[in-house]
Amino acid sequence: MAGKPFPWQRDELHPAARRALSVCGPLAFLGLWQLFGAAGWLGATPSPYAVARALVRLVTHGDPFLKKTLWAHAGASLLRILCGFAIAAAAGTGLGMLMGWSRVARQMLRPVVEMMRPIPPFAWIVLAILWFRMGDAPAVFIVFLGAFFPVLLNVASGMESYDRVLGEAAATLGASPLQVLFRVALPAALPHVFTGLRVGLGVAWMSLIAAEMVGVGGSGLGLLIESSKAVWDLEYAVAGMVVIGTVGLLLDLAMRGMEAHFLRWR
Amino acid sequence: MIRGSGSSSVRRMFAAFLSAALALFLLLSATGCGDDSADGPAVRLGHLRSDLHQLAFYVAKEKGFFEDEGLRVEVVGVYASGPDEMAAFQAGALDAGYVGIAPAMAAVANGRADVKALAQANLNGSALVVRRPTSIFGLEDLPGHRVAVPNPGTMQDLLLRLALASRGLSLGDLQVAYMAPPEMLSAMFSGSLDAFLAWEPFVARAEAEGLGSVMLDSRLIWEDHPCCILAVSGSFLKDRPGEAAALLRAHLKATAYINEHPDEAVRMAAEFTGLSEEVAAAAMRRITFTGDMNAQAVLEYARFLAEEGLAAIEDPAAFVRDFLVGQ
Amino acid sequence: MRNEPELRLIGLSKTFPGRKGVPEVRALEDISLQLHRGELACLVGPSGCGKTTLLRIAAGLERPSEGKVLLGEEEVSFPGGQVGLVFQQSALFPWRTALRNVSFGLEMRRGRDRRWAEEEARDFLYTVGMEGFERRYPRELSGGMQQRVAIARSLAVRPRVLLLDEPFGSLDAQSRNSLQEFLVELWGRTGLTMLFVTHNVDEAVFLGERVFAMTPRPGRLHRVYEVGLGYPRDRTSPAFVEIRREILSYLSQVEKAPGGGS
Repeated sequence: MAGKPFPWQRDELHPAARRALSVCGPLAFLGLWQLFGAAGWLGATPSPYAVARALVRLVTHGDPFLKKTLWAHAGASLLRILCGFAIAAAAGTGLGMLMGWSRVARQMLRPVVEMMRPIPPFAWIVLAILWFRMGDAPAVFIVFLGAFFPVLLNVASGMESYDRVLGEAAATLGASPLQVLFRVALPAALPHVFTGLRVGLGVAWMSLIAAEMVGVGGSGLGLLIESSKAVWDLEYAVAGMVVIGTVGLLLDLAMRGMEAHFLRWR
Repeated sequence: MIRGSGSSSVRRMFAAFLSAALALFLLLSATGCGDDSADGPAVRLGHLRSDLHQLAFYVAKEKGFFEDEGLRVEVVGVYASGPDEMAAFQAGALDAGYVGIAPAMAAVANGRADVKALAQANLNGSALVVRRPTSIFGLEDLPGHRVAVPNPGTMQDLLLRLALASRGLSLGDLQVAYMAPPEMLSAMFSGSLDAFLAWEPFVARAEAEGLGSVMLDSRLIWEDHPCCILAVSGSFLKDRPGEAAALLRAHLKATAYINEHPDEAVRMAAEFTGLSEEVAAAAMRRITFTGDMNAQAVLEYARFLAEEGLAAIEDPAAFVRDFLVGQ
Repeated sequence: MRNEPELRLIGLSKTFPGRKGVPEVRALEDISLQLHRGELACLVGPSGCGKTTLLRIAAGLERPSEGKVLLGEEEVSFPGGQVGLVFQQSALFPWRTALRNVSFGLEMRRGRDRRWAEEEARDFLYTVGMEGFERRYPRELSGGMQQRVAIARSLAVRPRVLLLDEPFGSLDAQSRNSLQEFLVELWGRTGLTMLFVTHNVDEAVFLGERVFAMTPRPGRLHRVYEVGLGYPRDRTSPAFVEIRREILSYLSQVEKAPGGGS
C-alpha cells in the first residue's frame, strides 16, 4: 500500500469498504447486545431477538396493551410529528426572519426566546392540556414547541450573519427592501434554515414521549413505550424506541436529500 | 356492590393464605427478636413521591418505628412512578419499597424481577370521577365520553373494565385516553375530559377544586381491591430475614397507628403529601390502610393480567404463591 | 454630447460618528467630481483613502454627511438600477447560476417574468464572453469569470453609470491584464459611462481617459490627469510610463506628508 506517513492522511476508503463498515458497526452492536444479554450482564434489558419478536408481533397482531399495530402507532406519531413540525417550520422561519432582519424585533424577542428555549417539553404538558384540551392538538403543540426554537434561532442567526454585500448588490440592481429580504437574505440564509429544520425535526421526535402523555387516543409510539413500561413488557418499549430511531433516521435522510438538492450551489 | 367477591372456596383459600401469612409473621418475629442489625448495612428503601397510599412509610419514619425495631432505613429513591421504582429494584438498588401492586407484579412477571410482596400498604383508594357539571349519572351514560385511566394494565384500567363489564359495556364503547393522574386534573379543568379513574389524592383534589365529583368509589367496583404494597427484593428476604421481619413489624405498627389516631394521621398525611388537611382527610376516607394481603384479590388481578396478555403468567395461582411472602 | 455631465458628485463629505471608545472618523472631505457621458474615468489612491465610501455614496448605498450626488438632474439618495456597482469581491448570489445572477435585476423589475429575464440575461453573458457558462454556479467559476458575470449582471439592468470598486484587485496578474483589456473593449462597444476605482496606478493609467488622484485621511481629491493616449494602450510606451511615474511620485509625496498635498 502506498500509505501516507500520518494516520490522519489516510486515503479515502473504497466505497464498498465504506458500505461494509457501516453495516458491520450496527451488526457488531447487535451481536454484543445479544451476547451480553445472554451472559446476564444486562439484567432485564430485552435481547435484540426479543425486540425483533416484539416488532414482528406488533406488525402481525399489535401490542398486548393498546391492541394497535405498529402501523397505527407509527402513523399516529408521524402525523403528530409532521403537523407540529410543519407549523414550527413555518412559524420559526417567519419569526426568525423578522428577528434576523429587524433589530427592534430582535431586541424584544431574544430574551423571551432564550428563556423559553431550554424549557423541556415535559414541563409544558399541563399547559398544553389547559390550552389545547386533549387528543392530538396538545400533542402537536408540544412537538411544535420542541421544533420551533431550533428553527427560529437558526433562521435568525442565518439572517443576521448573511453577507450584507449581497443585499447591497441586489439593491443597486433595483431590488426593493422586501425583495432583498425574500430573494436575497432568505436564500442566503438557507443553509442555516436547513440546519434549523434538521435539528428541529430531531427535537420533535425527542418530544414525542412528552407529547403523547397529554391524553392522546389509544395509539402512538410514545404511548406504546409508556404503556409497555407500565406493565414491564420492555421488549415493546425497546421496539418502540427502535421504531422512533428508525423513522427519525429516515426523516433525517429525507431532510438531507432536500438539503442537498436546495443547497447544491454550495 | 358490583362484583360478587366470593364463593366459599375462595373465602377458605383467603383464610388459609391469611393464616399462613400470620404464621410466617410470627416465625419471622421470633427469629427477628434480639437480632440487632444496626451495625450492618442499612435497609435501602424506596417509595413514590407524595403518595398518600404509602402513608405508613412516613408514619413509621416519623414515629421512629424503624429504629424501634432496630432497623437502619435509608431512603435511597423517591420515584415518580411505579415502573421507575421497579427498575430500581431490577437494578439491585433497593432492598424494600412501597409501590403499587400492579407495576410490581408486572415487573416480576414480565421482567423476572426478584421481588416479593411483604405486606399490603392499603386497599381501595381509587374512584371514578366525573366532570362537574356532568351529564353522566351512571355507568350507562359513559359510552361515547372521554375517560382517562393511567395506563393499560394498571389497577385503574382493570377497575374501569370491571365497572363497564357489570353493565355489559367495554372500553371500546368509550374514548379512552391514557395519561398520568396530575394531567387528568388539568384535562378536566380544560373541559376536555369527561371522567377519569385514578387513585387518591387526585380524586379528593378534583372534588376539592370543584372540577369533578366522585361517581363511583373503587371499593364499590371491587371491594378491597389491592393497591399499594410493601415489596422486598428476594435476596433481601433470603439473606436478611431478620430485618425483613423487623420491617414488616414496623410497617404493621405504622398501619395500626394510622387507624388508631385518625386525626394525627391526617395531619401527617398533609405533611407527607403537601395536601391540605381537608383534602387529605377526604382522600383517606376512601383508603383502607391495612397490612393484610388479600391473596384472593391478588390472584384475580394476576388472572386479569394473564388473560389480557399483559403479563407472561402461565399459572396465576403458582405465581401468586411465589409472589406473596409466606405463601 | 460627449462633454455633458452624467454623474456629478458635489461637495461630498462623510463623517462616521464615533462610538464609545471609537473616535469619529472623517472619511471624505469636500469632494467634487464630474463624469462625462460615455467617459471611462479612474479614481486612484492608496488603501483607506475613502474610495469605497465615495463609490457607495455615489451608488446611493450610503448618505453623505454633506453634499449631494446628481445623476443628470436627479439626486441619487437610494440605490436603484440607475447607478450600477461592481464590488471588489464579485458579490454574486451563490445560490443562483451565472445566468440567473445576470437575470436577477430584470426579475426584480419585471415581477415574475422570469423567462424574458433569462433571455435578456443570455445576451449579456454573451456580451462579457461567458456564453456556455449559463448553468454554472459562482463557486464553479474562476475569480475572473465571476467578475465578468458580475459586470454582466450590472449591465443587464442598463444603468446610466457603472461604478467599479477595485473589481480586479484580488485576481492574479494574468487574469487582471486580460480583464483590463476586456473592460476597455467592452467600454468601446457599449460607450457606457464608467468610474473605475483602484489603488493600482498602472491599472488606472491603462484604463482611464482621466485619472483622479485621491489622498487619505480625510479623503480629498487633488489632481486630475488627462491621460490622452489612444486605446489599446501600450504599457511600455514612453508616454504611458511618464504619466504613471508622475502620478506615482505625486501619491508617494502626499503619503510622506500626511494631510498635505495642497
